[in-house]
Amino acid sequence: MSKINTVQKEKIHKILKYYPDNQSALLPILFYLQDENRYLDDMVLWELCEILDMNFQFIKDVAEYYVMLRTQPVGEKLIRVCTNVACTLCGSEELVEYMEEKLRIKVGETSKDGKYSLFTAHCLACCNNGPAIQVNDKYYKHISRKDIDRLLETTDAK
Amino acid sequence: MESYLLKNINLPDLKLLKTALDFGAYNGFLKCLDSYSPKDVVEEIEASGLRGRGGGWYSTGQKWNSLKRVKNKPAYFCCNCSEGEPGSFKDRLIIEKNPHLLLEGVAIASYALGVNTAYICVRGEFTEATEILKKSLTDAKAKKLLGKNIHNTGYDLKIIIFRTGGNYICGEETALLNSLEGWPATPREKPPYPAEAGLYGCPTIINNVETVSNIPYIINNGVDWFSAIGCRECPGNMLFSISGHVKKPGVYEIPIGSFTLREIIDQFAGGPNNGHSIKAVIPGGGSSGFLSQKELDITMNPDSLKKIGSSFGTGSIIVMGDQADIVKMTRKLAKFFRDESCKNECEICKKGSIELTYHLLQIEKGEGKSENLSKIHKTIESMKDGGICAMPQTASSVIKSALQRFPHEFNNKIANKVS
Repeated sequence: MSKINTVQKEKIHKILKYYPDNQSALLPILFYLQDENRYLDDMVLWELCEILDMNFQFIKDVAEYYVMLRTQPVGEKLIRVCTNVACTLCGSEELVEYMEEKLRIKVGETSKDGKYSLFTAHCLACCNNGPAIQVNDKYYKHISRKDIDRLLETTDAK
Repeated sequence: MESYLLKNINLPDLKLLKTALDFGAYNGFLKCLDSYSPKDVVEEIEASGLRGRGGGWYSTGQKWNSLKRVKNKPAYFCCNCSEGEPGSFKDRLIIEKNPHLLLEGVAIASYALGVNTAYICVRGEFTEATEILKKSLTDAKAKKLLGKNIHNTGYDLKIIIFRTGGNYICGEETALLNSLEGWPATPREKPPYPAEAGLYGCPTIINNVETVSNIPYIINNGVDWFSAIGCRECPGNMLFSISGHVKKPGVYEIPIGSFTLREIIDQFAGGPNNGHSIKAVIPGGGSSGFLSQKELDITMNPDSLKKIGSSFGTGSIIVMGDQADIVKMTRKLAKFFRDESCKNECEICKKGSIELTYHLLQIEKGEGKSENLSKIHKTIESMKDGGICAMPQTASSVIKSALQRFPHEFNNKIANKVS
């Protein structure tokens, strides 16, 4: 079965129209396919290299290079905890430890039930509201342990 | 003290085109289209003395004048919204709260530079900001304020909102261009500079969000108005992002060169948290290094900070109270430089930042010896000449600034090491 369906192919061709060549459209297309599939599986990239007439390894290297692109499966909720200076001053490291304990995973891993993946981030540009985290695309500010408890319950319920 | 960049920022509907228009959005751009030639606009910006707020502090007018047009090749404009400097959160604020200001600034710059295709490169993490910007662009195009034949003047401007891959290095001009061309974001060797051969080998000008946001005000209110704000060598207001151990962290709009660092922390951010005093301050974002509490009476302008070996950077002030662990914060920054080192072949950047992080962690954990400290000093020396970009040099000077100002913090951890 095709990994990139007809609707997705149409969208890819629409994105291509904005850019002077296929390579320049690569990042927007990778973001689009990631949004559709949660991560960029090798099979998706193989089909993409056919569509774009580009080298598979090149596409894979680009996908692996950027922090916002993922070539490995991730949980339904991807949590990014800012651990740069300002958020560390507000206690973000302790928060990471608490989440590791609670989710029983280490940074970079996904919980066994596939619900959560935990990552740290270098500055989310939310330094006045530290500790700051992002769950998928949504920002959460001034996070405490209680907020984490609540957040994991709410996201569970969704 | 007049605020202009943040004047209406708290209006909940400012991001809507209708409200933005009520508050004068696009007036500056339409004024340019109606009564200024592109050359007039460049001259106006040069005369205003506006300097780039992205950390480099070059004259915006001179940068625009350096654009080397090539026959049969288009020129491009690129707005850098890859805000990734630790401690900086002002650009995201502008995009999310006042997107039409940014779009108007991009439009004026593009008109001045004879550009018909401009890119706004937004950091990958800023999903909400990207969506807001995309919607604002669609609305402005529908009103013929952007797009084809703008306001029936014959001027076309296509703006593309491009989401970057999120890496810190995407903020470096030439790495940003590589990213736009679909390569991994790695800095290019210079020369050629982007103004000669940038995007697709064509002349390209890259300006930061805050720089671009000043432009509509300069056009609307005039050069004399702008030059009277701030200081002679660096006119205008600056958006200071203040974070860390202060009572009121946030973004504050302050005339450049009118206050000392201590005054900014006390008068705007409410001073250090109750019961604490200040131990250290990072004055211009993670790349600017550490200052001690004895140095806080310095006037905040790019030139004065440069003189003491620090940097005004993006005006991102991180305050560390007496409760802060300087060794840990130094290690955090070393780790930042290690993790954000790019795919380029600059051995010194990769190896040096790994070494620095390792030895600093040993000291932080209480397992450090004096040899760890001497290795850190040696690594700092080896990195100071830099690589293809300034990152190794920056990492070197940031770590050095901590060791110079807080040697006791490092020595104490070594002396009390767990045996």
